[in-house]
Amino acid sequence: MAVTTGRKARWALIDVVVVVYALFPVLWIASLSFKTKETLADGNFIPREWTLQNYADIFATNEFIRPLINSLGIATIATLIAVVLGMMAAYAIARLDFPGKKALIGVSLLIAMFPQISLVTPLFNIESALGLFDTWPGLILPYITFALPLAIYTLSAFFREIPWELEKAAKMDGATPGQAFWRVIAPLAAPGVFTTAILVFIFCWNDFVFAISLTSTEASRTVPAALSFFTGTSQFEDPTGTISAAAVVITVPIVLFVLFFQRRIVAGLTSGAVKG
Amino acid sequence: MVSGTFVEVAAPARNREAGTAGTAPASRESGWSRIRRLAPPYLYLVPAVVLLVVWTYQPLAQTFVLSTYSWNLVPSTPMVDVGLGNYERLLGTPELGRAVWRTVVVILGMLPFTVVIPVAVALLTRRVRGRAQGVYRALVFAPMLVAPVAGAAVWQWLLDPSAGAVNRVLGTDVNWLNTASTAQWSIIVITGWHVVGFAVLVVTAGLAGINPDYAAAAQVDGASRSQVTRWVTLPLLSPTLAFLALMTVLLSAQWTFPLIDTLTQGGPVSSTTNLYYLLWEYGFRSHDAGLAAAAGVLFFLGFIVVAALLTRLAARLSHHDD
Repeated sequence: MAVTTGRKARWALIDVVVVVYALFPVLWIASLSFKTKETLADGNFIPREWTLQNYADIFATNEFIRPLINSLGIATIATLIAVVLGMMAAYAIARLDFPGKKALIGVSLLIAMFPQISLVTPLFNIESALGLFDTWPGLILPYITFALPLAIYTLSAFFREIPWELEKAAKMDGATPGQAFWRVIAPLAAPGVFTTAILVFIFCWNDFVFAISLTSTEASRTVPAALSFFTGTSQFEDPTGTISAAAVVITVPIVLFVLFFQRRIVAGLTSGAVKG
Repeated sequence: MVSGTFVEVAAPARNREAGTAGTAPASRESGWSRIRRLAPPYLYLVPAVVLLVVWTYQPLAQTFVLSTYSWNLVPSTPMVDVGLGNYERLLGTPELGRAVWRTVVVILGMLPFTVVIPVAVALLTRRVRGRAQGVYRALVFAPMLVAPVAGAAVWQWLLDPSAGAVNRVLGTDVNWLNTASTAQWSIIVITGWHVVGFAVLVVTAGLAGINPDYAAAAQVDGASRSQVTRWVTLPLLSPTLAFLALMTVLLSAQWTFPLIDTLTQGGPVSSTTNLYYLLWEYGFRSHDAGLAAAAGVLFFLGFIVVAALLTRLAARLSHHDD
């Protein structure tokens, strides 16, 4: 049990270094977003002159607002559908027994190993042929598909841990099947569903590969793709301030979301999702 | 939606025998009701499987077909059948070997960020209790929430040769992203920054799943804390570590893509062009659909082999809790 102070200090040092490494760039983005164009390159961590100009700039242009709407819509719809389909599949996998189950699980999960990039060219062809290229469904469908293995995997791990006898017990006590499900099973399944929804949402929200290869205009371009165009030739002479502001705007909602559900997520993850 | 209708697991084997006798007119079960009884599990899976088949397996099959054609992605131009020509061309380019090697470097370079650091951090924060632990985890997890493209923008500033914070802290004046010898490592460190929090969370979850009785028993037997960690905790954590290692191997190149595309575009002198980026360049820069598809097929097959080997290895190394 003897842990010397020297060892403790070393461990603490590692921790501090990791936090600085993780957090410093995040705070730096925030700092850049409040700097004026003149002080952008001064290297000061705390802006010497605070300004909201960068935020005003991005919200004044369709180059940001349109992609933001696209991102919100596409990621939300894809997450909802993926989680619902994932729940259905996970329920069958965790609770029912039927011939061909193993093969179907294999088909559903194997895809997680496919390098996305090797499918981008054919997806581009298919979508061009179907007229889905550069539309919302053109991104939503691949997002759902590529999120499904993750959703099925996490959800079936959660569903396996749920004590389903409780449902029967509730029904014996006179609850209707609906009541038994919503009052007994749903609360138990909620952490798993939230965890999955967040992981899927982060995947859709931050995706870049599909976003740049399957879109070409503001009709469906999402924020990550739009940001990469900010860096190139655009109407802003020096886009760093505006990119940082945009980065803050798209990160804040997801951070709030995760902080709000943080306890549930960690509880969810620890209750079996990643247990070997 | 998941009502309790199918709580009981049907016994298909026994019922199927009853079903084969169903040709007799006195059959107790009509074909229709049999379908209704056996179908539900499949109905739950059908939407997911249909989507997967249409949007991943079908494109995958198309990749195989496309890899034998020469085509520039423009619908109006004809596709020319070239047989295995694309593969010959691909294997003949020195680019491929270099890209494979760079991919290996990226994977090896990522392992400290996805396995070593997370284990160290998770082991330490395990002893921190209560709110502080949650806050710490949230802080480390934060970069995962920043879109990689946005992260790239800030790292570009941090690594700036004249005003960047990194050079000022280290007292150097290296042009990190524009020097062939440092660009690759910069990409690795930035990608590591992005995923380290997720890995910490996974290890924490893995640690929480370990029965504390083992460690307690070892301590009663006089094992020191570091001995417990080395001989009890880490072996029990091995499934989690194998999972992280597998993820690193399969996804590292994918994680680097947005950063490479915004920061270096594969350069300087293609020092950051790994397999993933090379594939994208073939398809969307050179518009050489056949070559991209051929590379995609090889990439895919290679990954299947690697994944199979790793899962086999992981299964052998894993010490199971139960």
